Amino acid sequence: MKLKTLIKGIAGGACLSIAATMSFAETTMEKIVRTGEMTIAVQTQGPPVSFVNKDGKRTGLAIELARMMAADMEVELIIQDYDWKGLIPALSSGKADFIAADMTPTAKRHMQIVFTEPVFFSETIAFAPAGAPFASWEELNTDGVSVAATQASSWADTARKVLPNAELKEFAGGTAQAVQAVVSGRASAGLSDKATIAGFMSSIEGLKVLEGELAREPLGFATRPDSIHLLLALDNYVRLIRADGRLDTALDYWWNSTAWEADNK
Amino acid sequence: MDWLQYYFNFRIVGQYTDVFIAGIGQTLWISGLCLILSLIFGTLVALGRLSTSPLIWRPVAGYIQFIRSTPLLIQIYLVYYGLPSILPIGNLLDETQTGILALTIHTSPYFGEIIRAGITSVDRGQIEGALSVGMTPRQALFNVTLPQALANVMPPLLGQTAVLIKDTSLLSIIAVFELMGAGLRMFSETVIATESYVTTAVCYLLIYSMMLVISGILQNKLGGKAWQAN
Repeated sequence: MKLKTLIKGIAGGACLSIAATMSFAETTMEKIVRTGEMTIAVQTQGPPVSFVNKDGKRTGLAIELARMMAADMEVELIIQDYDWKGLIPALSSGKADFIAADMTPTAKRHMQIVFTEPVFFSETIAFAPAGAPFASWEELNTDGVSVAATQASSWADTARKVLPNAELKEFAGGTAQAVQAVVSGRASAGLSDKATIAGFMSSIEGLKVLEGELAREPLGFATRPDSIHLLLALDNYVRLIRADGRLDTALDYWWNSTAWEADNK
Repeated sequence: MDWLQYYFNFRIVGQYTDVFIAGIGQTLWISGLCLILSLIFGTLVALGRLSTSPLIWRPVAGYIQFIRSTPLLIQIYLVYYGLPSILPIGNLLDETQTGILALTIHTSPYFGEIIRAGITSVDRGQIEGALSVGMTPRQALFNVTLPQALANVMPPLLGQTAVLIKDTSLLSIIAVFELMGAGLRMFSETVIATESYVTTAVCYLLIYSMMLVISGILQNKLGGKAWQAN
């Protein structure tokens, strides 16, 4: 009887171990195939990358690209909305399969998460009040000039590198705070990307974009280091929609123009 | 110790030591100054609230209720963006000074209410005794009532001070660099959440422990030998 119980126990334990091993061995893509659901982490940031439109629907360049991919894969897309600080913990903890946001794939960040090939490129530009005595961004690199940028952003990094003489003011809470600081006279000028500022320019009067680009950065989506199959699928999809023209169409609508405003604002 | 490195990467945290030291310094400086100012203005708020004149206690009560009922975030915004349009002096204050002003305006009523409770807890006989030995009401307040009141309410004051220290992290919305900003900078550059946030939390814990020691010393000093015997 005791031997029988022991054998049963060993068999049960072995089954549990196999089940656990199978569960741990499942890749992110296998999970998507099994459940028919693809979960993405997106950032609460504002147009044109990720925002809630006039109909209360979350949309934007990153959202629509992920939606297009989910439709082509015939899986359901689940969107989880996070502050920037919450994106990577959501990915690392397995709450999201990948991050669909405009992240700069820096060397340091690549040591923790894996980025897709660039989905689009961002041009860092400077903006200032319309009456400000600056024509180009180079003129900001002067003592007594203050430059506003989002806290701990790539724009703040750019300001440290190319505008060492200007005072950098890092505002938490995104580009809206930097724009507010410039409009209210709390900062002489601000830095952000071209597409985001184009969105603000159409709704806030009294701003001008200074000549020239401070930096040009590739932006991509991110996966966990062990999600190789999904990473390859994302890279493949970017190549696919670039070849058939759908990526350019999306970029022209969302990123290179303000055409999205008519349908969403 | 390699196994520990797997769970918590001290090497990467070490690369940000100077950033965290700068963040701790800034948080200590801001919260320390706010603490002193809030104790001074909080005492005035407490005395104003205890005044028998409606011309004094009613506006003070209104101020307390306004601060209690509105979020600190909005108060910081109002001081940073609203003050310059009301008073020209607002433009002369930089981000850190504006932050200290906003936090003092926010914390003083909380301190005031705690100190008011402390003052009312001092035995009436103590004040009468002070007056009967020839002290003026002002001398009785500063030499007898307030030291005992502050010693009595040291634990809630310490709790409110801990809130004040953590509230400094909200100043990042007006571009003030402090401890939380240091953690966010590390996180943004390295995207390692555990090390960035745990290091920040440990730094806040260190500051709080330091406050705990200082408040214990102050409590013994203010309360005197009679209080220590309790």
